Parts: sequence; C-alpha cells; structure tokens
Amino acid sequence: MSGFNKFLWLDLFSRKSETEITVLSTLKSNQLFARLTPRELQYVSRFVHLRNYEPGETIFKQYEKGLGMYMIAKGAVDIRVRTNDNLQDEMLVTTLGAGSFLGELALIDTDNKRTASAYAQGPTILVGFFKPDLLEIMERKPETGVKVLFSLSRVLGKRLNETTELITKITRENTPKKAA
Amino acid sequence: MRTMLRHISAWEGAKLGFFLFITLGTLIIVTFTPTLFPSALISTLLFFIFSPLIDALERKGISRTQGILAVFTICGVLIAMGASAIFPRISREMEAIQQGSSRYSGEISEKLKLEEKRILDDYPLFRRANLSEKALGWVEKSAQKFWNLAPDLASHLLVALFLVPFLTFIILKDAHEIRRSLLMLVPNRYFETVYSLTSRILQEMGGYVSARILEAFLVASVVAVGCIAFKIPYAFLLAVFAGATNPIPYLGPLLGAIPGIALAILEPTVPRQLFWILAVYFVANIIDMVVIFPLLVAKIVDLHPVAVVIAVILGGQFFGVAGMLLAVPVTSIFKILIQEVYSRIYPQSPSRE
Repeated sequence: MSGFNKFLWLDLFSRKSETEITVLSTLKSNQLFARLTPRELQYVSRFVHLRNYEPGETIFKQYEKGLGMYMIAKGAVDIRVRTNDNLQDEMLVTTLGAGSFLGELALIDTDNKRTASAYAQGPTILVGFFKPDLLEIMERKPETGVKVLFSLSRVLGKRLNETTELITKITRENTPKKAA
Repeated sequence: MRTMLRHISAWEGAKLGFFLFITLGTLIIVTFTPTLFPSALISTLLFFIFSPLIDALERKGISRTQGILAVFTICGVLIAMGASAIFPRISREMEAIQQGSSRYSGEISEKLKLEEKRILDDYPLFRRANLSEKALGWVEKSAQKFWNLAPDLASHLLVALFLVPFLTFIILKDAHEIRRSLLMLVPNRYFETVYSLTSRILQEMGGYVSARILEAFLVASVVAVGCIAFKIPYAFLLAVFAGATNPIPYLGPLLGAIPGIALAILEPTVPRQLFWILAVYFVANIIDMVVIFPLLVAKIVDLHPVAVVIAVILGGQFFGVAGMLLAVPVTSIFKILIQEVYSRIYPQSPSRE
C-alpha cells in the first residue's frame, strides 16, 4: 500500500494505526533508539517518516547530498557502488534486510555525500529519520536527543573499529614477510 | 525492468504534480483571499516569534498545548496592560491629530498656493496647468479612497481578531504534523530535496522574522525616547510608524521619518524642533545601521544589495507596501531554492587522484 493512501484522515478513528505500529516496532528494534523509554519512543515516532518503495526504486544515489538515515521496516535494500565514471556501471556490495539501517552518517555530517547507491529489492517499507528531525528533538526534548546521539556515536565508533581492523588485516596480508 | 522504471517515473511525476498543486494552490488561495491573507500572514509571523518560546517551555517538561496556552494568557495580560497604559496616550495623540487636521489642511493649501505663485512667477508656462487645483484634487481623492476603504478595513480587523489566535494556535501546535502529512505526498525520489528545502526555508525565515521584529522594536524605542526627551508631540505615534516602516529595506527609514518631518513643517509650535526631529531619526537610523542590523539581521539573510533593491522595487510595483516588506524573505526563499536544486542537479563526485 502506498504512503499516499495513509494521508491524514485514514488513521483518524483507529486507536493505534497500522502505520504507528510499524513505526514503533521498527524504532524499538533499532540500536539507535534502544535506550529510549516507551514514552520517548512514542515521542520520536512523531518525527520519523514512513516511506513505501516499489521493487527497483531508487532510495538514494551515490555522491548525492544525504539528509539522514533509513531503517528497513519490511523488505530488503540493495547497496551498490559505481565501478567507474559511467552512471550505469554499479556493483552490488551487500543486501540489507528488515531491521538494518543505512545512511546514518548523514545525520551528523554537515555536507554528507552518499558513499553508495541504495535500491529497494522488492516492495519495501522504510522509516526515514533525518537531520532536521534530530535537530528538532534536540531543541524540544534534549534528553531524548542526547540518548539518540550517544547511541549514534557508539554505532559509528563500532564501525570505525571494524574498518580499522579490516584495513590492518589487509595491510598485514599484503606486506611481504621478512625472511627469517 | 526498464518499463517498470519508466512507469515509476511517470507515477512519481504525477505525485510531484499533485503535491505542487496542493501546496501552491493553497498558497495562491490564501494570498488572494483578502479576508484570509492578513490573518494568515500575522499568524505565520506570530508562529516564528513564539515558536522558540514554546520549544523552551517544552524543554522544561511543559506540554506543547499547555505552553501555547500559557504564552497566549501572558500575551493577553500584557496586551490588556499595554492597552490601558499606552493606548490612551496613542488615542489622545490621534484625537489631537484629528482636531488639528482641518488646521493642517488649511496650512497645506496655503503653502501650496504660495508655492504655486512662486512657480508661476518663475515659469508662466505652467499657468494653464492649474497646479494647486490638481494637487488638492489628488489629496481629496486619496482621502476619499481611504474613507471608502475604512469599512472594509474594519471588517477585516474583526475577522482577524478571531482568526489570528485560532490559526496561530493550530500552527504552533501542529506545524510539524502538518508538514509531515504534506511531505507524504512527495515522491520518494524528491523527498530529501523537498524536506531539506522546507527545513532551510523555515529556519532562515524564523531567524529573519524574529530579528526584523526585534530591530523594529529597538528603532521604535530609540525614536520614542528621543521624541520624549526633546518634548516632540505625538512621540508614540511617530515611534510606532518608524518601527512599522523600518523592515522595508532602504526606503523604510525614510518613510518612517516623513510624519515627523511633516509635523515639523506643518505644526506652528514645532518648526524650531525640526532640527531635533531630524537628529532623532538620524541617530535612530545610525544605531540601526551600525549596531542593530549587522548584529541581528545581516548574518541571517546573506543577499547581494543589488538583489535586495531589485526585489524591493518589484515587490512594491506588484504588491505595494506588503510586497516591499516581503521582498527580502521571498528573495531569500528563491536563493535557497536555487542553491538546493543546483546542489542536487550537479552532485560533486570526489576527485580521483
């Protein structure tokens, strides 16, 4: 079902809409929001954006300016990188499934450029959380914003460690061993 | 796959068209409905003024609705107090002007006749032009036009009295939800661009409106203090007018000084004070140009002076004083729009080394 059908009035009479349940469960299962209380999760859910994608639809393109991150609520996302300057030549790097998230660097980097392209593999539902949303939460409920920022720093720190380890491993493998 | 992508593009185009139709359609309807436009404009201004205050209250743990109600109550009390303290003085000044108006019109016609005589003595060619008759006819016509508009103005004021608090409450409480619902209409491909654009525009407009209102208030205060210090009559009215016209770029300070200068020329007891009236406006504008504007406004809207002048001329040409007031924020919105679209159309790939 497209997001358009959910516009304004559809959820008017239900106590907790399907949209709200999807958003809340996606937020709850994401490590960025794991430290939030149910009340804070409810508050944050008012700032995120539910987006529906058709199979093969572009989520974002490599080198494009990024505004924020996407959490996968349903479906899967293909991550591809360009192999040369030709826009069509892209190589599949990985496929992310429900519960994963992508583009989180754009939340803190002021002039972020996407490092890869992302495409919906099948019918996919994503929950978008963008820089203006984070800034507004920081402005209105700083204690909630700080919790999200702290979790984001932990995720980025962990990824930096993993990358450093990988680079070290590759460097070791490529360095010719000294003769004993 | 290609057919599917083509299908998505057509669908996205239709969705984008629908989004633009809804937002621009609403904007056009509001702008061109005379009863609605002033209320919507005032509510938007009040939203930008009160929003930081409501956010601050929310930070203290007070819910948004409670915060808005608290701010409304405080404003109501302040308006009532201000009305009881300042309004009687302003209404006394208005009455004095009204009483003096017949004297002023006599003065104007006498001065016009003297000027006409001088011109006709120097340039007899103008004898057939009936200068004073034409000038007085224009003054009469303008006054008639104003009085014809008065009932309309009164009815608009009455509507605004009810509509402004209602609209302001709705916008302050649900601005984020309204924007989120509208953003749902934007196709996925353009979502980040539109969201980034609206965020930047709202942020810049918020800063600009607050800065300009504070600037107008400070200029009005300087004029009021100066007029009271030099015992110039109608101090509050002159200050309110100077403050209200101040946000018009370049022309505002000159327009704001007209009533004071006119008063000095027409009021028989005032001519000696012409120097002091000019000095008050001069000092107020120097303080504005050297201190207030660079500190408050210039940092927020970074526009080239030529762009500002052209925008003010175009705004004045098509929408009068309202157009002149809105010229800078509208130009600033166009600037953001061009910057954002340009950065999306020409994304810079990292250089290869």
